[in-house]
Amino acid sequence: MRVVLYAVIILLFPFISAHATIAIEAPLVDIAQEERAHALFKQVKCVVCTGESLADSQAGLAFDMRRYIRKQVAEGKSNQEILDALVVSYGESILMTPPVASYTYILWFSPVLIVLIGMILVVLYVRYTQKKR
Amino acid sequence: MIRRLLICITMLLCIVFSGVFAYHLLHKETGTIAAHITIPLVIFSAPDLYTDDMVTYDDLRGKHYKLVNVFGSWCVSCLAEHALLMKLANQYKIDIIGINWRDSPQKAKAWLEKHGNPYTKIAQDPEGDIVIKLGVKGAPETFLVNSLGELLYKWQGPLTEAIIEEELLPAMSMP
Repeated sequence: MRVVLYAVIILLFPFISAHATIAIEAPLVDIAQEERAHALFKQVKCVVCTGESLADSQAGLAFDMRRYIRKQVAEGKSNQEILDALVVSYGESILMTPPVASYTYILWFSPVLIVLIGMILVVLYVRYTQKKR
Repeated sequence: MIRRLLICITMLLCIVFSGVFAYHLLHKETGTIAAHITIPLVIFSAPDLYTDDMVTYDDLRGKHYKLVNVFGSWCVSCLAEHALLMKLANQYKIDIIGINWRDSPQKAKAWLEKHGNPYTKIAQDPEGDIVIKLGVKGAPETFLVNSLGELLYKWQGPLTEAIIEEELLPAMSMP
């Protein structure tokens, strides 16, 4: 009986903490706007964390940024305007997905290149061993 | 023959990668935390801590270079650099615009009364709106602003004697 009680209490923990987060952060009343804000949270990095988006971060600055983005959405700014402004202030590293540009070609295309090199090496190796036989 | 070629290619790739990594490791900026940036004039308007005036981006523009300093009474490192800001204001007569981040006016005023006020104007930024526009990651952070109100340099973390003498003052004397 007691075990069941503990289990229930432990299982309720996530809901308690989720409730606390919602209480601190006022979501936008307009559901469509709130969804848009959430989509933006996922595209923006938490600048004081490593590899976390705003949507996942509990850092103080992330709270401020979520509130800031919500305000901008409520003011009627477009997604692109909001992201562009953040890039001006923080640099492109604030975006979760780096842009495809000449200086990020290595980042985007090196995996393809490495696979290609690998395939060429495999073909060469196979040919080499067949010749040997 | 081909096996040798493969070994050569692998070795070559290893050497190239090691070289690239070594270069970037050795050329990492150490000692200073200055970053050359160019953030165009940031549009903002916020109530002043002491008067009924609004502090706006117009206050960043002027004849001379100015500093913008992000601080809060809750920020321990801000206290560490505070004496240096006082020196910059009193001795060098540099205009410092304060951005009071995530603070209450009462706490901020009490803090400034206790430690001195180096700021010519202080914009209240309880929700971090200005701070985010400036691209701030944490307090304290100090910006060098040119006459057009553009942010040219930023120093993350508390200022030090060395940063002021070796970087900040030389940067301010440039045309």
